[in-house]
Amino acid sequence: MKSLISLLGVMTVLGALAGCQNLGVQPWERDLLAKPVMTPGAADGLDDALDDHIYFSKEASSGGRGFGGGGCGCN
Amino acid sequence: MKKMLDGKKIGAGLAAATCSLLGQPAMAQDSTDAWQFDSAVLYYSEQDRVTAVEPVVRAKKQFQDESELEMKLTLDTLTGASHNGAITSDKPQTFTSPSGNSSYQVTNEVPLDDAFKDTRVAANMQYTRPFTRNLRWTGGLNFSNEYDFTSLGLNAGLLWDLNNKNTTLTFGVAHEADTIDPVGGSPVGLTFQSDEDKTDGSEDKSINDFLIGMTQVINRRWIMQLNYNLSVSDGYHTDPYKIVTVVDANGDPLEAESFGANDIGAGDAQVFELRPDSRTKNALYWENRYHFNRDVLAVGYRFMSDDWGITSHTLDVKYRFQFDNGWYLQPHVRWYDQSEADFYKESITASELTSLQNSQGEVSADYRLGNLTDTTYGFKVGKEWANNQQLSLRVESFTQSGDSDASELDALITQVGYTFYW
Repeated sequence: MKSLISLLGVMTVLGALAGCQNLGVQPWERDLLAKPVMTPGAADGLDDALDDHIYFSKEASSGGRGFGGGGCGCN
Repeated sequence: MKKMLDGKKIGAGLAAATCSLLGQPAMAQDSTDAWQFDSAVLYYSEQDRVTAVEPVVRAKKQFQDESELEMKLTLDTLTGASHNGAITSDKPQTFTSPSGNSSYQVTNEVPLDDAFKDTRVAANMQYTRPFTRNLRWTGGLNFSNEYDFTSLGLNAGLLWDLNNKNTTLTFGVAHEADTIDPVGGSPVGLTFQSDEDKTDGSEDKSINDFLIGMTQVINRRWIMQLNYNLSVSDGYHTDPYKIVTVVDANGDPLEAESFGANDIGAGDAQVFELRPDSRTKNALYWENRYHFNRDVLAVGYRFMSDDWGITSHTLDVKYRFQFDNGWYLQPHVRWYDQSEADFYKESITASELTSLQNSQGEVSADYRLGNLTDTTYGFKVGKEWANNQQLSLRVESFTQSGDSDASELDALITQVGYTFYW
């Protein structure tokens, strides 16, 4: 199961990468994308880290957005 | 303390980003030379249970050579009570405190251990530096300490810009070493709480994380991120403060003395939980951000599965209404659903205990490992000024619901944030 998911993950990324060559914008078309609100992981300031900490200690899941380690004795 | 790789940044430097805030004209103040400070205080309050106050400050600076340094300090104070793992029963149940120095009795309520009190300090540092036009490396250190727990972590990663910086690939590894030093010692799993069978000395856990991610610009309005995260941990995963109730055929708590253990009161057949000594988690995360004429929609989805039998889905949606003069309102909805771990049981019978003891099998009644559905909804309101200062308030309601009474939980999340440049 683990290796299957790993393989799927890698294939998804590679497949998407190949298909992505025709996507995107020119440098002068980045007016909207340059805003912090359009930057995944940084758009909401400290909210993501605080949320990850709350939900890590109340649920059995972690990771995905970043590393899934804990750094917390809460679970 | 989940240190994120800063691989989400697509091309545009901090200068461009801060100058084009809300599409306003470039600011008179040059913030490229300044440190950016993000600060927040989180107030998290569960009904009848835990209350946490968590101030955070993060300082960030981009240097002339386009390298970036980020430092974060978090303080976390916890007070209140948390579920000890036992069933909710109309018969009295007797428990010992974690230190073993006192006992308490609960009837008709979710059994809570009210000795829950801790202060956590966490420090993170991350440095990212370009070494070719399209490649950056990043490295970071994490440290956190609380009364019975210490964690030390480091991470390293590579960020690779492709397709005219419309694609960024992220590769990251992280290692974390945890030391757990439970109050009163580490209990021997599956022994009776009334016997206080505990070992001195600390327990260890190590976690290795791998992350591969891709951020892709779809068009002028749409950006997407896809991450795969593998997390492998080895060592002590048991919660030393959680127990499992041994029940009779009617589901009522049994007596410890009937198993030859110490008698500390009624309904004291409570055994310490025991979890596997390793865990492998796989997580896929997919985030989309779409910019309408003024507003922004963000949709995130995570799928996680692990070798404990847990599978979870998380959906996170935010919509930012952008108003004049830098004001915004951002409603937020989060939905989470998980299936139970293979060794989760709300309670066990005497014969189940015997077979677990004979096979050194695992069992936990921690509701966080059971079937669970959580919803969070709320909003954030904020204001950004021309000098890039920002002030925000977030208010959210968090509800948990699962198979047991202990899983029914309501909490309030309140957060005040302030960003400035210095």
